[in-house]
Amino acid sequence: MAGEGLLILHAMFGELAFITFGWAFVELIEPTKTRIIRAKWAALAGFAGTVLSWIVGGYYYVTLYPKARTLIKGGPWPWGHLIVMEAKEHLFLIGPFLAALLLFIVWWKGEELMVDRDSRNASLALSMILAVGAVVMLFTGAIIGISERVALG
Amino acid sequence: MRGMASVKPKRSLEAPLGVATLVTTVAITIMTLGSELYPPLKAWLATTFGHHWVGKGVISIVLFLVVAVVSYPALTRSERSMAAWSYRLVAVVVLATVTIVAFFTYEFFFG
Repeated sequence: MAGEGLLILHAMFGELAFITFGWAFVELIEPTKTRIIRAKWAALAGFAGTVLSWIVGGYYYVTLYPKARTLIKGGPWPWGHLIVMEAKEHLFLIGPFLAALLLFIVWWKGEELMVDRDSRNASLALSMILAVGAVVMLFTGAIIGISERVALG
Repeated sequence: MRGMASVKPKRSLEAPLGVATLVTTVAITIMTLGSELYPPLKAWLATTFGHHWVGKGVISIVLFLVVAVVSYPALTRSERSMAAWSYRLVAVVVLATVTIVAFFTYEFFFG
């Protein structure tokens, strides 16, 4: 039961990251003072979501996932672990650093983002790839969950 | 209304974080492939940090901080284009994603 709770939290923090990075992207397309304030908090929430998802998911992965891994590898969808999970667990490590960079740029530049097109484009590129990355993590998480379910029969 | 001269009054303090993120992304890719191709590395990560994945995470955090601090004096001397850095970074992240997915797909079918 604790495992399910951790997985729900892991996914919820990931969804928070997906929504807030997408939100930051939209706010930064044509920034105003108000939109930049919202983008700052969205980037902060995205960073928090990414880090919390990392901690909770990491704890689950290290302590409880080995049982599921054995099940998946012996089931009809072994690629659910051997390709999807292996790629997910390593690609996830990149996310927090991208999120930290976005957070720093948005908070450091602040209202300059209204006139500094260069930093604005950087923020847009980072928030876009973070939102896409978060949704890819959510999809791959769903595939791993289904791989375990099909292994149970 | 700000004049164009005041558009970028600050030094590019985000540049060291940009290069640190880029180096860390490359390092994560190398550690991922390296630990699969060279089992003693995976074993060392597991024994040193309790789990190979935890080891990769800890090394990534330390590397990120070290590169940010070490590159700070050089990268904050003059204005730098963060958009150019970010586009490079996005390209590296996409390349890392393709490399890691292709590697584990190859391992699954032919490894």
